[in-house]
Amino acid sequence: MRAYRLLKKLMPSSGGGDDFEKAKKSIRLARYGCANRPFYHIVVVLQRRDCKAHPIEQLGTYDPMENHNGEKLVSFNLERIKYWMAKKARLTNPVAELLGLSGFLPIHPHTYMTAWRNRQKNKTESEQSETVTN
Amino acid sequence: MPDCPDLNEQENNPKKAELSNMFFAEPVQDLLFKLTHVDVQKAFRKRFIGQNPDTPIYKFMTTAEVEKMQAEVKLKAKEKVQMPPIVPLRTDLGQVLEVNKDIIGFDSSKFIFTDITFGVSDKKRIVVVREPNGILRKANEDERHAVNQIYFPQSGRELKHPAMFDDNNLKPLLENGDYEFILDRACCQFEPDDKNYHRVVFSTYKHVDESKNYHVLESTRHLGPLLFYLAFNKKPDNFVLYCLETERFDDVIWFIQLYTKLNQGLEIELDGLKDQFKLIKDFINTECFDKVKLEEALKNYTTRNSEIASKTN
Repeated sequence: MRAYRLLKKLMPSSGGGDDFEKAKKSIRLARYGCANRPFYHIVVVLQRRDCKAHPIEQLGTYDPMENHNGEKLVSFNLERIKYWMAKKARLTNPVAELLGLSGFLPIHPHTYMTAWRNRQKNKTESEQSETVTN
Repeated sequence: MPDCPDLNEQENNPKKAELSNMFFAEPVQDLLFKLTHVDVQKAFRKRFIGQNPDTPIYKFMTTAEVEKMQAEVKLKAKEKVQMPPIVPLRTDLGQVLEVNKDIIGFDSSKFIFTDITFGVSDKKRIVVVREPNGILRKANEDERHAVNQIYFPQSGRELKHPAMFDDNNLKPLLENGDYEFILDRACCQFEPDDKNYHRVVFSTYKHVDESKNYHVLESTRHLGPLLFYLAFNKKPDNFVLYCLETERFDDVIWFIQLYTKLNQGLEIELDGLKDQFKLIKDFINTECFDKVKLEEALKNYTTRNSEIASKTN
């Protein structure tokens, strides 16, 4: 048993976790990075495992903080994402949103919702500032 | 992500497509290689690149073995001075793929999406950008360079372009005559179809041509592209003059062949054996700008050679 645990620890961080043929899988973001500096791996894991469980495979990365050029970088291994989607892996909302923004999938409804909410918020803020200045 | 089309869409621009084919055409490559004058000693010289030099090995050999080794080394040298190509600029970047006004406001910064599928080359990798105003477009040159260097770093290439490639900083380097350093580093840093590469390399070539420092680049990988640039842009004067002054008669003939091939068609063969002097004279009269100077140089060359010939006889 002890040897088995040791072996698990030696597996690469980018994959090699438990994979059962009939178990449900999901493609999700796993938070890495550190305090006050989020960085996400896009991973495929067994759906019932917790979010930091050893992934079956890493499918990409997402850096939610702007870099010095004001860009957010996302990478996908599209070939493997297609493979796992064909195996009926579930996409979580954040991943589906990113894939939608990239043009790989249709835009996710949640993106429309946040966009609309942000626009409303901006509108009310600008109106308020106008009234204040008046 | 929508697939990037293959990189053969230079069809819309026939002149530029011609340019790229020309550099890789076999007769052109042969001529450029001949003009480079590969010297084994110079090709394998010690270079200060931060690595420890190999310790030399001394061996006893028969003459046959030495000759065999020399032939091998020549082949290796030929590989070593393989020329960085001159190709037209990449034109398939920055196209808008989709405009979606309904997602304006989803985020305040732009997203760059990269496909990191295994085994795709840097050139064919899919990179798209979603702007905050809902536009989805292909990434431009700078974004592609950054993303490729972040996810698939190449040694010797830097994420931020070195400051020496700014026009202001490049000038003193050119004045110093560090041509090989500039060209080597540019070759490493940029893709050959990058506008920055063209800017740096062409300004260097121009400077070499104006100051006639061809000997610095002799037997390196950069003389071929330099001559290709001169022939393609119809600036033959300085090189022809330099060759005549330094007794390189074969080079003039080869350069004229290259020039006619590039400007009049690859099929054209000059039967230079008949009357080489007349060939050069015609070339000077039709193509060069500084005719008086060149003709004088040719005359000097012929008189000098006839003197030598008469002395030996």
